[in-house]
Amino acid sequence: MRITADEVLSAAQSAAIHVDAPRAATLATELTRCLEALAPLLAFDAAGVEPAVAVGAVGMPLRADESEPIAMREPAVALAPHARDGFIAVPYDPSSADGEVGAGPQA
Amino acid sequence: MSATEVEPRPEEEFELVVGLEIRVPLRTRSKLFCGCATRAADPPNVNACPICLALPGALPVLNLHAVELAVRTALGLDCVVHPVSVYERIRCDAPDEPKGYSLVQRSRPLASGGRLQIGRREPGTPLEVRIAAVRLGEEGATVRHLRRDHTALLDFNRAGHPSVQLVTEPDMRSGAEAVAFLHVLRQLLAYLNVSETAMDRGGIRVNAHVSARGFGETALRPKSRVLELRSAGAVARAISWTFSRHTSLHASGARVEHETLRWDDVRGVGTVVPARDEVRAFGPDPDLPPLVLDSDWLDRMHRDLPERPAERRHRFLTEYRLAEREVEVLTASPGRADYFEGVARRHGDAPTAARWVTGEVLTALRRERTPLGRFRVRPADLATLLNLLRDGVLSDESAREVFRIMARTGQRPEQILERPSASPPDAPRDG
Amino acid sequence: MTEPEEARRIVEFRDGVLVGERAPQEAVAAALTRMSHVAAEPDDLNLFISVDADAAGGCARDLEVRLGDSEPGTLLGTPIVIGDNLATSTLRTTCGSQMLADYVSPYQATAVQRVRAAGAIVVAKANLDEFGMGVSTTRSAYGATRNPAAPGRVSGGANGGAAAAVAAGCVRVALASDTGGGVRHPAALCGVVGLKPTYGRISRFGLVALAPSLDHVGIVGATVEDVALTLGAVAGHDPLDPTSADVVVEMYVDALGHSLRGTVVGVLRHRDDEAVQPAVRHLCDAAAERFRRLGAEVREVRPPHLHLAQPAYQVIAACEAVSSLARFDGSRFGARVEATSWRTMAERSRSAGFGQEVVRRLLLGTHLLGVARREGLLRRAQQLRALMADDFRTAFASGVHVLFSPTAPGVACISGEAENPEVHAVQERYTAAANLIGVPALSIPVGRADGLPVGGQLIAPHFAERTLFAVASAHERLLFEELGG
Repeated sequence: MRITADEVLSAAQSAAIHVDAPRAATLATELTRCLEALAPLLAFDAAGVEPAVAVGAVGMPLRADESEPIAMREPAVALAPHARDGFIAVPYDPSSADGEVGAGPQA
Repeated sequence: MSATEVEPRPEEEFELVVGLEIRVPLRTRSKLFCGCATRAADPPNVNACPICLALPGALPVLNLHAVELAVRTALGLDCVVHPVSVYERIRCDAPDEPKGYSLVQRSRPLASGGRLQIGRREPGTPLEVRIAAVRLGEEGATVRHLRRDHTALLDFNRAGHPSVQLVTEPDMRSGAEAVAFLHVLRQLLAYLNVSETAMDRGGIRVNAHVSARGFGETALRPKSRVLELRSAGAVARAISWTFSRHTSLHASGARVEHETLRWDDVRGVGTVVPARDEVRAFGPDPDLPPLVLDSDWLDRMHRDLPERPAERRHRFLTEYRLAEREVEVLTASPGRADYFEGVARRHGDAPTAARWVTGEVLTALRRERTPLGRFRVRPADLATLLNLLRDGVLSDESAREVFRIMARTGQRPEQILERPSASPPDAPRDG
Repeated sequence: MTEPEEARRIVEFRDGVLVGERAPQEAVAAALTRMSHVAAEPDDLNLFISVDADAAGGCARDLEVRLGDSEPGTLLGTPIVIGDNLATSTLRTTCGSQMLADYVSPYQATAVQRVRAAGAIVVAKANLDEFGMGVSTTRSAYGATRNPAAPGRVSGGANGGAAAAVAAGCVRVALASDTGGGVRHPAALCGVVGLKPTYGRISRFGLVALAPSLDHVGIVGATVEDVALTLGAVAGHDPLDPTSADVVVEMYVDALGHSLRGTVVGVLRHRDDEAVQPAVRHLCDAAAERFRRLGAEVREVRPPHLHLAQPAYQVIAACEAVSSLARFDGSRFGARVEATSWRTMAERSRSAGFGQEVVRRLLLGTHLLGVARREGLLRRAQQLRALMADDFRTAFASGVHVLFSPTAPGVACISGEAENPEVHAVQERYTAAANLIGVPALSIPVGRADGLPVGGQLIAPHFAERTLFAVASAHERLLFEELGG
């Protein structure tokens, strides 16, 4: 199993992290080594084994419909790097990929 | 084009295929995964907490009442409710989703396999739209874009508000059918009492899935997913525009790809939203165990399901023996149907009660510009008035006069008749 | 006072406070003195990211005032250190990252709230590998943490700061996270006790998520008793954590001091055991011998899939980390790098805020979820998880009460070696299994090899922490006697 520099760049794009070409090459080497160490996972007999996503799930606990919000020491806008008139302000350019606001997950 | 050239327009050679994805906000006191109040109209960001802001370390806990309302919606649509459903993390890279992923019951939804009858196709066969899935999810933050500044203002009051996503099969064949579906759906939702259903007040939102194919084809061709349609008119316009787009492309032999369009109802055009080739599915959410609904609880939800419009109409037709047209008007909203029954049960003569409710009552409401919920004439009082009419105490004309006073003042018929100045000229006196 | 304050047992100090012989402020002052001492040496141990002397003094004074009216908590007057990926509402919560350099959480973690309600006083936030990703605490944006028990060597990771703080005598207990060994590994390398309890035993609300199905809140302590006391104060159902277990919290301290007669210890044999350093093997064998002397029966257990636990853990952790860290985009909190579009702002903020190891893991996880999904590594890892659970169930069903293995394959490596991928790769080999299946695991000191601490790990069935404490405390007493008491 290996990962190429191009695949590193593609993963970086997907993960919203900037990686330049030289770094992508280095990372490809490092990550290929990681992947090789994971190879034994492909070798054991998993026939008929149901994948276990989590530990001891006994069913979802449900909460009463009461308005009891978690108290915050300061309001949301105080945490934001940039706020305006009580709103949290962020850069936004609809002509770019930002245009996807409200797209929601695919049905 | 001259009179002798009759070229068929592309639309005529193709069949329009439409499916809808409808988002219905649910009427709960608190949000889906946290105890913040669902008051989106409060000052910005006051109903926000670590969970709906997706601060580090916060965890979601599901709201039972939201589950109840979602199940009620699913049962109202004759869906099969799945005893086990699972939340998955689906990548969502936009400022309105603070977690960076959405929690969606994607492959194991809450319910599936339902239907909604929206009318009749000729010749007399019922027109049904199948419901593919019902999913319980949440709304995102509101984003207000300030065009000048390349800035958007985020308000997390709405983030985390519970909503149900209904996805239909592509069973509709015209914009009119899509609009009819929405109308019937909204009526059903009103009867189920799960939501504020006004589409135009930021309530129900629709994405339309539109494609075109040759008549007789059974396979589906690639479709456009048109986003964020906020009125029935927008739905109709977007469907029409997109259908033309597809038919022109098909007719010219061009390739049609799956795409997502953002609809601008002001300019009447859809703009392609570029697809991103990225990892979208992160797998089942490790914080939320599967939602398990026990069978006794589900049985109780079945039993407690409110009477639906079709059931109410049927009952009015058979129990009260009313005409179909009258029944349509009386059952337009659950409030109106309840009002009518309040009168009919006490008065005893359903056709008279129906005539008065569809006539005098609706006229009075229009005149007073009042919603039925705030109408001053209580059903019991109208019944009393109709009894007086039946017993010959009042003539038809006098009854109407008294009714008008009742509508204006909220007085009962007895009170009005006691006062000499209020009694109509030809009312017989005692003795 | 000649004896350092921190040498007194928690219960003794608490009793002293209750009868008015001691004041919480004394303990806090002693802790802060010791903390500045270890920071001031030519080799600053670099244990803490934030220290708040004023808040600590304030809490202590507040406690003194409250002593009369409330039910005295079990940790009354105990200074405590919190790993910096647990939310506290006055000190920063940086997770060892530039991304959160100035972030003060507006709410506090349930575990933190409970230790404070029990009377403990938070004196500092401890250093850790960024976002809990690492085994050496050399990958923090705030510098590397050095091992107080081993000069020139790493403290282990991810939560080296918390373990070292206990080992250095600053505090007796610390709360810290354990996703693949993050509490047990540094506890072993620093010579103290480290517990990863059963999954769901301690609420994760307020623990900054790395991999939610593997993350646990754990406890570091100077002795087994310290850990048992703290667990009693912190454990229990939390309606704010949907994975929190609704299981009765036992009196864990009652398990201390029991005989081991009738207890069956299963020594884990691993297919890749040759990775264990001879000195570590020797000390673990000596520990097994102590169990025998204490009356336990000792057998060998060979779970067939144990050698796959670490790769499976790495795959699941990398994949879950991708979505866990998706919320860090500079929009609502944390460090932001401005731009003209949302997407660019998120990308720049993340690139500037995340360190190298975090980037590596996110890329690995993204790759495994995306292009490499066809290879099915994630699915196989989850299948392995199911098989691992079966292996352990079988072992426990065969009459074994507790399993035993080395915690780490070696002693703390020298600082320069920490980045050696071969060293790095084996560190979680013994600890990862317990995270995969959620069973409780406790690392205990088993001796020193050339002065360097070595830890052994006890693993019990779900919610059987009492068994861990019983075996561990008996061993602790015997070891103490051997070393001249």
